[in-house]
Amino acid sequence: MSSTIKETNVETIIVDDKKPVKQSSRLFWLAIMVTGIFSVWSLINPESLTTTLWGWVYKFHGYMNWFTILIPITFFLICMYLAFSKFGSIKLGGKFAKPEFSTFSWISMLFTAGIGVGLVNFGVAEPMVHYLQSPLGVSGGYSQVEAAKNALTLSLFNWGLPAWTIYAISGLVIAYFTYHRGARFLPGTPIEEGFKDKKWSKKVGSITNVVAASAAALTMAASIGMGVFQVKNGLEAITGFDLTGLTYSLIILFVLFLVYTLPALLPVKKGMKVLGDVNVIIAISLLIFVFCVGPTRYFMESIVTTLGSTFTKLIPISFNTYMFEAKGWFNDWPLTTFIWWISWTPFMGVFIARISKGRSIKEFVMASILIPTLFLVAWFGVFGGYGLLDDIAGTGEIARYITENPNDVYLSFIMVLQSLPLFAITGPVFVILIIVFLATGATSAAISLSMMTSNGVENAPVSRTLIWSIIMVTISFANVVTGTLSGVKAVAVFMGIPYTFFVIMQVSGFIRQIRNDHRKELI
Amino acid sequence: METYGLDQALLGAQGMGSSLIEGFIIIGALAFVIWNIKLALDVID
Repeated sequence: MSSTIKETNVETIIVDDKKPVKQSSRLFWLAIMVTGIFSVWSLINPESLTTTLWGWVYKFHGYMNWFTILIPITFFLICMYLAFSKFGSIKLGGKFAKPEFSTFSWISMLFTAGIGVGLVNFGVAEPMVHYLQSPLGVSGGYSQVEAAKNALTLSLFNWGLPAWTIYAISGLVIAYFTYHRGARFLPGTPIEEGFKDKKWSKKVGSITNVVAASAAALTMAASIGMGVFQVKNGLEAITGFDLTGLTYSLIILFVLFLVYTLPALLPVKKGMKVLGDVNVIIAISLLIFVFCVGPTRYFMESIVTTLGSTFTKLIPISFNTYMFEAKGWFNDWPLTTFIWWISWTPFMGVFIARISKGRSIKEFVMASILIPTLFLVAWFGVFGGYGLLDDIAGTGEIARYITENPNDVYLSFIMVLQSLPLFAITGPVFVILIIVFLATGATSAAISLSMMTSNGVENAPVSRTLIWSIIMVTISFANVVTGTLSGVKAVAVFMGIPYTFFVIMQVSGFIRQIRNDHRKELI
Repeated sequence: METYGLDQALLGAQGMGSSLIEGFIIIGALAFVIWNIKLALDVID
């Protein structure tokens, strides 16, 4: 049996060369099979798929809302403990490991892969929905001013510290096992390695890998499919042309496919890094432009207020289960959003681990949680703040639009740009931003999927990356053609439910390992 | 987001009782969490 010896800073680990290939192929085909079953179901009977899966999601919310709401705060406390305890100084990859990417590029990739196009879709809509519909909004009897402040707090609760904590921990658990135990970049690794002494560890680890790969492919396919409609809406708003019809959708899908596949085929340093940098530069430029031409003094007040409430209200909101209120908003927004973040963690975890070598645990945790959160404070403070001000002191058009179109709230972002000067420039920038955001997310998904199904190697074969790119675009294509996007969207959220339990096991396995490694003075 | 015609009673106040299955699911989840805490605190030799 041929084998290679892999040196790590911990110990020498024998890596069997033959076994991984077999496992890799099996995982690849199993993941394709699970992805295929859901894709075919979404095409043949989308109504049944949608009703069944959303039914399960809402049943889960019904029984387990207390459980879901506690996950982010629990992970946050674990992350803070890791950062500020004896473990904080541990460097991923060993004492002498150097970061592969500059801090700006690292944060840009983290941020753009994790938040994706949602930042543009929900930048205005998210606070407006909470302002209008939440129990802490106007419908809950609060004054407009109080409801607006609460809306910004809730937006940051859904998108800020809790979301980034989920991503950070899912990346950290894989990174630790990869860089300190010589394991592979696989979501099942923390379970397989952390519970090595248990008989069930390999089986549970393998199931985690299959669920992770399928969830990643379906989640990203849903995102690409939704992106097609968002780009089309954006183009219609800018040009005034009617772009109804399948041909336009397919052209947009093809452009998206090219924009995310080409960087995925290049080394991360050339493709994904450049895409992440470009993305953040465009987003920051748009933010600065709106900040300057809009009501700047009000924006600063909005940002400072949101910044304060993000930290001071984290604990009370994290334990609020709205026990005596109707659960509609609670299920639809905070709970579904958290499950959605978890359904993104399969590829986010692998991707974050891949780009984070050379960072200490403290640096990793603080940067990956705090920097994106601070950016989001500014983003929601400006774009969300503008929408809220429009209802309190302006035309009220944005709030009216969201009330009348509850399932198509995305256009609210473009309404803000339209009401400000130079829309001829900001309009096209908006469309480019959507495309680049989508591409960054899809590129990181294709790279992660390729790594996962190539037994977690650091630089996966380009052919496998291309196969996953094609699979994702094929699912999106089939769903766009048949108009069955809600089906694949339902699958993406649904997959987050089982994965929640795997993430808990990953964290448990990681804590188990790091405690024992420290006790044995291996780190 | 739509709820696709799901029983609204499940989404709102649950009334004064609950089904046996609900009890099992909730206790199962609590047991899972406690088991994972125990595993995390294990000492490996």
